[in-house]
Amino acid sequence: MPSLLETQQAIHDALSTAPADSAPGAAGLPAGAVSIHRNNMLHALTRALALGFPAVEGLVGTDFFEAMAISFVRQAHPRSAWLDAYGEDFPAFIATFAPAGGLPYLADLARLERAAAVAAMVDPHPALLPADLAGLDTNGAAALRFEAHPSLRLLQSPFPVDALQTATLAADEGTLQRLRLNEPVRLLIRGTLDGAAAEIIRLAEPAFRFTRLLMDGASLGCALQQVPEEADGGTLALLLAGPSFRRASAADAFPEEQPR
Amino acid sequence: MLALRPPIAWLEVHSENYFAGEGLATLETLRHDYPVSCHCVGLSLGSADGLDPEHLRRVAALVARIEPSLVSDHLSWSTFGGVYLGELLPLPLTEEALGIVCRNVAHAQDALGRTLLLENPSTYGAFPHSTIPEWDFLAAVAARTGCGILCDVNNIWVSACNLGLDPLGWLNGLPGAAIGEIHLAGHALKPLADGRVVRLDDHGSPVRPEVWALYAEAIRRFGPKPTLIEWDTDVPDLDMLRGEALQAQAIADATLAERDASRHAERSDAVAA
Repeated sequence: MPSLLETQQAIHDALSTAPADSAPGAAGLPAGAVSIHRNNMLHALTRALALGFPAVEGLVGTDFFEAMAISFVRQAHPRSAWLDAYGEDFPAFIATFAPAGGLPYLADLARLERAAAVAAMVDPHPALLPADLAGLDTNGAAALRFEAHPSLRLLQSPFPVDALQTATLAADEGTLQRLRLNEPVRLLIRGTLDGAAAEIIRLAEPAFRFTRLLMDGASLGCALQQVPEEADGGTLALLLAGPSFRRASAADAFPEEQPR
Repeated sequence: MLALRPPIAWLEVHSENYFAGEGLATLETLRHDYPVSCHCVGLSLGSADGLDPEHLRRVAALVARIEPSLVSDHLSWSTFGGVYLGELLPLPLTEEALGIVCRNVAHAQDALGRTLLLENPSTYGAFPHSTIPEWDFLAAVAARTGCGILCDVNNIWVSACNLGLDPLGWLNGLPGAAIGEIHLAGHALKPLADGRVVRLDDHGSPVRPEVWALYAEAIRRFGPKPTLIEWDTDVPDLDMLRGEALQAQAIADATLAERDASRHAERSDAVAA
């Protein structure tokens, strides 16, 4: 008589390795039952991915998405029952999925959906707000460094994946047909202060570079020196209007940084 | 739900869908107007290698935040070796498995600071090395850990038919005092190549007449219990769902009235004798 551990090992192996159309029994559980559980498992996990990547599914259709998702599930099962968090590696998988090779923007669209999903799941608090910086003089402000908020992501793509996402989710065929696919975008993705959603904001090249410098730990003064276009403070105000940073510290808490 | 606030006695959610984001924010609003039951699908209380501490921590955080009336999961397993399989998988019902389930239920109850309800799952085949009927297994877990039982009447029908057992005998084997909640749902019939028909617990259609009849038996035996209609594939409009809930209430009311009348008649006979 197999132990419970041996029984579960055998069923785990039967569900995660064997193809769907061949269903041997496992640890005494009849083949028909194993087949039903395998189908239920694949359905649950592919539906979880579809919920996390609705624009990818909308663009390629349910059948193609399901085939792609099943291939992914077979090589990367979830590590926990929190399925909202499943799919971290799905965009990278899509980039290597040969049948999707004719859709070069698909992986970046998946990266955008993933970043937005994560942003909406992260607790927005604590977040650095404009009031936290009130009263700083120019020297004090220039010395500040920021700790990026875990909801904040930057995404650069040679394709307008934000417009592609919006039009796909709205099933807006007209816009999809008119969309110029050779339009690069630079995007900021973050949560909202009420913790219920994500926002996606297009940035100009200097704003994107400025934000990247701050996320990487450059002081405000250093970032402004490298991207003088941002001297008007517009991008900094945009960043402080949502959960972009957790907190700011005076530079003397860090080793002196030389502008590159 | 947020806009309509229909007159519904209580709500049940799959805990795992409400750990963060918009779902959690919605639930935090609705919990002020409705009692909430947190029904888990991922604790994997039958796992031989124990519970996932990170998942248990997330469920505990949700329970602390929502303060649900009930918390439940299944007599099944879904996680093995750090991999979540996304399906409520069956256990061989042995003394070894009983010890493991009791240990895991006790662990979860300690972490959550409250008792759980343990639900009978749908099964599609039996392990040859099972030695304990499911109703006795559930009764033993309840007796040893203090947990309650979530009696899924549809799952009893599905499992009993698939395994060639008597649904009423199955129901009668459960300890009535431990039942804390009842589930009802629809299921599908799938013909197999060999001519047999398997019943699939897909929660995608109205409750079947034979399951309504078994529900009346459950109420007659267990008394009034919070009853939930589960419908999570091909979800219909709210009116259709409410219709199913109202039918459950009507059956429970009629069954209890009939039971009380016959008890009254028995007492009168005893007095007359």
